[in-house]
Amino acid sequence: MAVRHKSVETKYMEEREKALRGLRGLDRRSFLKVLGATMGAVAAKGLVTPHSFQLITLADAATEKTWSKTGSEGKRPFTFAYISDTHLYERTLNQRFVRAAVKAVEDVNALDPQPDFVLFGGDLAQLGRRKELELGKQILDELKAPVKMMVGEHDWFFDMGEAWQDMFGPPNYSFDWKGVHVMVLMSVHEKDFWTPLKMTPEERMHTVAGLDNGTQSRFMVGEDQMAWMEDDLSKVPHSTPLLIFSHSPLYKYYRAWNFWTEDADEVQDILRPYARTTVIHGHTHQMLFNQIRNISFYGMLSTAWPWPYAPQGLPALTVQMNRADPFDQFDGVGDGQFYVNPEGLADAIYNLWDRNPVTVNANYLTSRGARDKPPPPQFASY
Amino acid sequence: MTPHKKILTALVAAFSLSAVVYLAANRSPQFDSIGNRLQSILNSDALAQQLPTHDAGESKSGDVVVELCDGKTRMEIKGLKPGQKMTHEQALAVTRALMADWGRQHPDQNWQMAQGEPQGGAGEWSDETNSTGATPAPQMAVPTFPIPGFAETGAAPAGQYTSIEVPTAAPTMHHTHRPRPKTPIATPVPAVATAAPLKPTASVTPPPTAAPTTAPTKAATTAPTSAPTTAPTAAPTRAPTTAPTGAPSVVPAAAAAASNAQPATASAKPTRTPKPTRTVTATHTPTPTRTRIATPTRTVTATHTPTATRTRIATPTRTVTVTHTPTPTRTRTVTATRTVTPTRTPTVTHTPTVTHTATPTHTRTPTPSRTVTETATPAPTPRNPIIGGPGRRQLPLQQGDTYASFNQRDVKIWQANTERFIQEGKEVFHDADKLGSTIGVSCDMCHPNAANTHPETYPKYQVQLQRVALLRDMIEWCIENPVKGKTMDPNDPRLRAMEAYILSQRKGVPLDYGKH
Repeated sequence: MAVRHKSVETKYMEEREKALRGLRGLDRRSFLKVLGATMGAVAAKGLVTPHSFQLITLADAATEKTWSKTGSEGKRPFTFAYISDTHLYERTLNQRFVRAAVKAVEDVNALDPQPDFVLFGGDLAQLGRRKELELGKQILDELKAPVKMMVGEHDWFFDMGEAWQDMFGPPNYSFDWKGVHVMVLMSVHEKDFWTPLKMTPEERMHTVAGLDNGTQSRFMVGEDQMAWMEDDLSKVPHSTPLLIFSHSPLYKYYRAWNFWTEDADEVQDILRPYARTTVIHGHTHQMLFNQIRNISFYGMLSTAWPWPYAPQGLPALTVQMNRADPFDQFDGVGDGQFYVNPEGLADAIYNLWDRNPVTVNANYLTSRGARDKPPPPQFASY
Repeated sequence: MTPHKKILTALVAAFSLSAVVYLAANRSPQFDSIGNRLQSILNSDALAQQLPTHDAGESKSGDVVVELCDGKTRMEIKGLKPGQKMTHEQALAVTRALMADWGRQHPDQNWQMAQGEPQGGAGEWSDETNSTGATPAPQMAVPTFPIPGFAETGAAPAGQYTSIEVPTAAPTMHHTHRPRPKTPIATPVPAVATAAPLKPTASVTPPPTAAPTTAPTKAATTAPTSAPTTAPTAAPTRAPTTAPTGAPSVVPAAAAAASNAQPATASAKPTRTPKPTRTVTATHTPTPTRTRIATPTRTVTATHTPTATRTRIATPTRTVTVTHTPTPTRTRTVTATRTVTPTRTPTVTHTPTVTHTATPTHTRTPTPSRTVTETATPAPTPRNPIIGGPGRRQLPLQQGDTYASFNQRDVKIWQANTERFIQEGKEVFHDADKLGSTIGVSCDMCHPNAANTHPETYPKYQVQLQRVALLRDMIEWCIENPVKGKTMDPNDPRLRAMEAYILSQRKGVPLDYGKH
């Protein structure tokens, strides 16, 4: 019989359990010792512990020095939080992803002040089932701030968005918020590959859910939606900052994994007249930054699992996040916050759970990497 | 067959047909993949390979010359004309004699091994795999052997072939139609007529076979031996039955040969029927029999005369010897082995072998003299003196092992098996159920195309496990933890296939064990 090795995670949990058991029978002197040691550790670190016993540096982004000060007096018109790619199964099947989604909600609810709204970036469900979406809605309903929903391909291709639209409304919409025009797109349309193959809805969903499944088509915004964009923007002056949300990146990163929007160039052309445009997307489950002409792009984290960087096409401005520890469920995943300055440009905070958060200043992108470069990874991907 | 069984059979057939149609209509990936696999195997070059053929040439007397696939060892069978068949025992005797001859020339080699080696140089295989780069036939000389059933005639004529006489009693011989200079059918007829006057039907069949390139006198000597055995049985019995039915198809040929047939009818007239109409049918009937026999024998003859193979083989072998011989030491070693052979075979029966084995080496020795002069000219130097350049066959390939003996067909089959194994691994990798996940998680969810599995870095110290881990240790860990399944036995085909899939996705990435 082979010797069973305990992982570090297991050992940590055992020690934690042991420590907690010990705390119950603590006398006054011992309690004060523990308290003193804890205070000392916190003081030495200079910050409070955010989520666990591990001491991490929380958000330089929370300090004044890191904000973009391009606006008058450095004011920030508004903030919003970002949660994405929870990939929920039914609760009875999979608790792992449920735990992560709940953790994200608790994170956002802990923000003070609360964000103006929370944008959910798509892929609430894993296989597009109504029960999965209902579970997601139930979890997101716990958020204190208002929630804006965006659809992902995992929410859509089982019933072609029927359940999702029943629960959350139309997949693309726009609104104005404190001087910024906000558009939420449905960017994961695909050409009909399933009818010729006579796929069942389950097969279609499974095909789309497979990132490396080459049977499916590429994501598209589609001509109808682009016409809607043009119509919607016709009422918006070119001086207005734009904030665009799409599930897939509105550029071409890696086709084989659908880190790609087929008609991204056409969409970019529609956005070109607007000097200050920020596109924020999910789907790629990793830190991604890009700048194409007037458009700044941010790729955000998933709460469920991180994806490795694609072998080709990584935008030059992207600073990779550290390789994720497979032994830690909450490593390489997380949520995010955005601070939109008076100029309408957004600074991002990648709130990586169990790591220090990473702040990316809008200046980094608009200066094409000349200024405010984020910290490089210590442990890059293979 | 009972009615019940008939109905059952019909139902099964209909069901099978509809299943095939359904699969084809649905374009099931499985169906496609099986079809593609079969198609690829069927389309493989290997299946298109044909057995090598040789032009063994022919003896001056027109007798059959038999040659081994090495293109060197050959033997003339006295009295056996092209197209004639030997008995099984006689054929075996010839085979044994040829193999014995080859064995004497190659005392240290095994026939199967030697013929299994690639001859294209640098490990390449060609369709002429079995036809080694043989030196041209006329340079060869081989000894003679006593073969049961054949009369040994001693030294080969013109120093070329071993000659073996076929006994005149060769019973079942078919007449060959060799593509030789056309001799009028009328020519041999007088000879036959004189040789066998008592059996006039014999005047019909022998002419085509007995029409050699040599003088009609030679035909006259061979005709009596073969003609009486075949001709009388075939001609008279078949004539009345086949003539009416076969007539329309044979008409043009018969008409074309009408002028040639005239002398034959003249000879047949007195014995058979005086009526001219009957003689016409008599002259016509042999024609179909002739064509029938000729058609199969033609294909046999064709195997003997593929000029293409000969030219192909001849060209590279010459260049090989040219590039080989510049090193004088090599020629010396060759002679050394030659001297060894006679000392090993002091037996009386083997002594003729010694003398004869010397002959091929003698015929080779002229080549070095040529090569010396060619190496003196500095112009055509190969890119790599050992393996590269135009003279890549300069070094003899190692031979004698089965491990290195494979061809393109083998490679394709191996590749197909490997790909199937990898495909199985891919399916497990992408399927939570096959993986045994209890929470619907499959490997591809975190590792599309097996990315970030970095199998090339194992073994390495896995800090989280606090020990050195192999790739399969990490697969097992993933199955147990994020996938929430049961670990697999190391010999579980799913685990092995997944390993194969993961490795296949990192093809070309250098191994770098221990990397973090």
